[in-house]
Amino acid sequence: MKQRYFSTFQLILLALFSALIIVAKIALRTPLQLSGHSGIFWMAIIIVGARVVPKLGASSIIGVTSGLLASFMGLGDFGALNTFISYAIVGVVSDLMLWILRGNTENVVVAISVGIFGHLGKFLTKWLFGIITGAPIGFVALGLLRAFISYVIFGAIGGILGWLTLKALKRAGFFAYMAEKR
Amino acid sequence: MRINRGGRSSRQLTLVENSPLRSADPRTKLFLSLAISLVVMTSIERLLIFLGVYLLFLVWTRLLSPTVQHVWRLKWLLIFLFAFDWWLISLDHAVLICIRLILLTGVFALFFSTTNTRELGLALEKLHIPYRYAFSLSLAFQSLGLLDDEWRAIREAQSSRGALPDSSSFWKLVTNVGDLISLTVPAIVLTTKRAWAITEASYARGFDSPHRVSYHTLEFSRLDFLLMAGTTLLLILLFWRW
Amino acid sequence: MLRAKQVSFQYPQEGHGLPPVSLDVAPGRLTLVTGPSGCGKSTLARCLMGLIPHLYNGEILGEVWLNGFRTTDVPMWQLAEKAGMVFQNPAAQMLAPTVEDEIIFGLENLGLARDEIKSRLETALQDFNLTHMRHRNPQTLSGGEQQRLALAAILARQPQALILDEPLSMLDTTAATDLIAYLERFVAGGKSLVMFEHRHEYLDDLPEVDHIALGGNKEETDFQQHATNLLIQKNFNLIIEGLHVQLGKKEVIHKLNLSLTSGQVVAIVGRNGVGKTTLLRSLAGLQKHNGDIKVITPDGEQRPNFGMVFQNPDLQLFNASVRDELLYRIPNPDIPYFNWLISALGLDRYENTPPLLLSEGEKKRVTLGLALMRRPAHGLLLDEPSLGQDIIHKTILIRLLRTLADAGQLVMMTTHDLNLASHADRLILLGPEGEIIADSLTEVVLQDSSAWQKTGIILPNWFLRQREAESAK
Repeated sequence: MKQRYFSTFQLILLALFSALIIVAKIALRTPLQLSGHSGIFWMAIIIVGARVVPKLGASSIIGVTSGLLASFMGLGDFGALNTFISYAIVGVVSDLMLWILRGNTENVVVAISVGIFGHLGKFLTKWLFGIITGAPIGFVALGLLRAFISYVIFGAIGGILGWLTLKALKRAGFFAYMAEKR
Repeated sequence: MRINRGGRSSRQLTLVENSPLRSADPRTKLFLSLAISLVVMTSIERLLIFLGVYLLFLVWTRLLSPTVQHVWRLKWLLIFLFAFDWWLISLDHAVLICIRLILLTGVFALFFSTTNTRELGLALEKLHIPYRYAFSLSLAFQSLGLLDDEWRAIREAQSSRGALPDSSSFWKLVTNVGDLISLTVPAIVLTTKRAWAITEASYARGFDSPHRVSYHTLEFSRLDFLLMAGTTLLLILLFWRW
Repeated sequence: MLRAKQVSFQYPQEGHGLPPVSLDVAPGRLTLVTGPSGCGKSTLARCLMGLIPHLYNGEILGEVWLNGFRTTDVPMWQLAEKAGMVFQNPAAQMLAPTVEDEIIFGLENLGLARDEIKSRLETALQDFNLTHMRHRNPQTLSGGEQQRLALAAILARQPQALILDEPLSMLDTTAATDLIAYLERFVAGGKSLVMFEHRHEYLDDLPEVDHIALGGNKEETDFQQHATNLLIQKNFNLIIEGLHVQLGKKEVIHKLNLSLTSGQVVAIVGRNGVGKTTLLRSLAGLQKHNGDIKVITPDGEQRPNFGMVFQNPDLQLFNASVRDELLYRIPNPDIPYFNWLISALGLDRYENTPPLLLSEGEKKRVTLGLALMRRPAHGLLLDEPSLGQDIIHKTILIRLLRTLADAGQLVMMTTHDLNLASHADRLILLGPEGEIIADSLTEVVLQDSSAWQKTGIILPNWFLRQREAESAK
């Protein structure tokens, strides 16, 4: 079969992981009403995705695809453009972090770093949106400081959950199953 | 919110079937949405003129209602921003900020409320994105309902054996984070199995054939040319130094 | 047409693969391949189609020839022009947003002209009775309709050979009988068909079926018949009064009344969508409902406490070993009981194996163990327990359920499998609106032809013959 950077299976898998992010965001809401708490499952799925398809760009594909899905689903309060960029940037920043750290997400430090910085990508979008619309600096800063802390915490928890999920998958023989597939 | 079997949720942007934009090419609508996003950079006077034209356009395309619904979600933020900006800076600034926010929030509804996922896939192909990417994107859309059912079934099955972690408060969530793998592991396994089943099924039906043709096609119509030309003209007028 | 010469395959994981097999399928012939779970049926099916080695890592030896092409020599898309394959799980192979797009997908890949695609699409929709649902989302169809659609999508490509990997295992009797009729026509048209199937009784009426039996581990468990370590139940009655369940706008169960006694295996049979699973979920406390569900014991009324075994075992498995899985979140586990249970389930040799690496039948038994480890006070509820199971797994399952009933538990299961249902003590037939059509001893209900007719279930010929033989006895 023709060798490509991403195999068809890998592309389909990344697309379904993107759908899983949307489903987790909608169906698996925790009762917490803290901003950014959905990042727990979001980042965990990205971290697992980056290990299951261990190629640079995998997280970006998850990000862009989930961004398109979220835009079509009408998620987010600031319109489709903001939604799309928020989701896409989480994937792109996660990829960037993986590239900088040159590690894989089976390493807990890498997983937590990707979780935090990837999730902060979403925060970055909020900040940029504030700048573009020209919202008052004090108001933006106050809201953003709270959001920043919350995004860091939930990103880190997502990183840990992703790392724990990978460990459990490894122990459960998931990677032996994956080794059979192209 | 609940995603139904067909991959739709109660909050999904519903397709406005009677909109004249339904028959426009997705590329045209994308251009239109991006162009309007650029307009927010212009001055308040021109923005106000544009807003008038935009409202008429929304009425013609029957998209006023979905756009208003979208903006309605931001009502408190808009009121707050308006009051804050007026008090701290000026009335002009307050109006400018609110119009920008309204435009940026609602503009992509032009695209997403009038395009279905098949048309998006075809547009991506026309934009020379390889078919494999468009195909996987359309699978992601179709799988939403199924994955949603699976996630709920996992929750139910794990709760029936007492393996659903308590995440009702922040501290419980932090201390029980390890137990969340009872949800994530089955979800990842089921999703992977589904991805593999689709891969096999698609290859068994000749996927990746170099002879592939598209049964459904996108063609630029007169409407597309008119919309493109109109938008370009409007952009020139708005950014022209007069 | 389709020929395998000493083909074998070894997956990267040791001890997992297909031992050498040869077969030859001529045009107009149907070959049935049977064998226990884990003997390599699915692997052989994939070798014949060419998915192995094109999509799988591992080592293939021997040769497979498909319509004059060696599968290792030509790309996958070219092999797919010669042969088609239908898989076990109907829902998992649906890949388009509408029924007609599902058929069009394969035709586009053939590179046909638009007119030709249109004409083949219309023919396929008509031949498979799908025209009225052409704009529906395939995920909203029933399992039988999905499998029919999968077959239509493949046959519209006009392949010379067809490979089916357990296509009947997830279908009810009506849908299975329906599918066999389509396959009969395909073979009569001079095409080759290879079918991998446990439920081969459906092929009994077809003329000239070549049969290949693959070997494998004949699994037998030193199952202890006596439930000495089980909590022996006092007699009780489960009373369901005016049970009413509404799912969205649909009324799934309407004022159902039922009274069941402990110490028996009860089978609930009905077509898809009549509320069988919803009934079990209500009894397990997982479904909001109106009406009363109570357990009456000699000591008074109790809250129902049943263990539930779900259709899909993958929903629950995530631990590193069967032992960890069974003991997860069990406070102060009773180890002698655990040892008895793992042996009764035939899983003792897998105690340290990750559950995800087990066969579907074994995984199903692990989930049965999960429910039993929690020692439900009143019994077990099983949703389609024999789905995709071979005869060995089914035998183990039947014996375990009998043991539980002998210990005084109430075992209720929903099933499409008439063989399994015939092992129950009591059989309940549900009609199209979820109403009870028959509720009596199994041997009585099995003979009640008019009741079966009312359910809308078409009884297959093999079952009617079996029933006649039973009644003659």
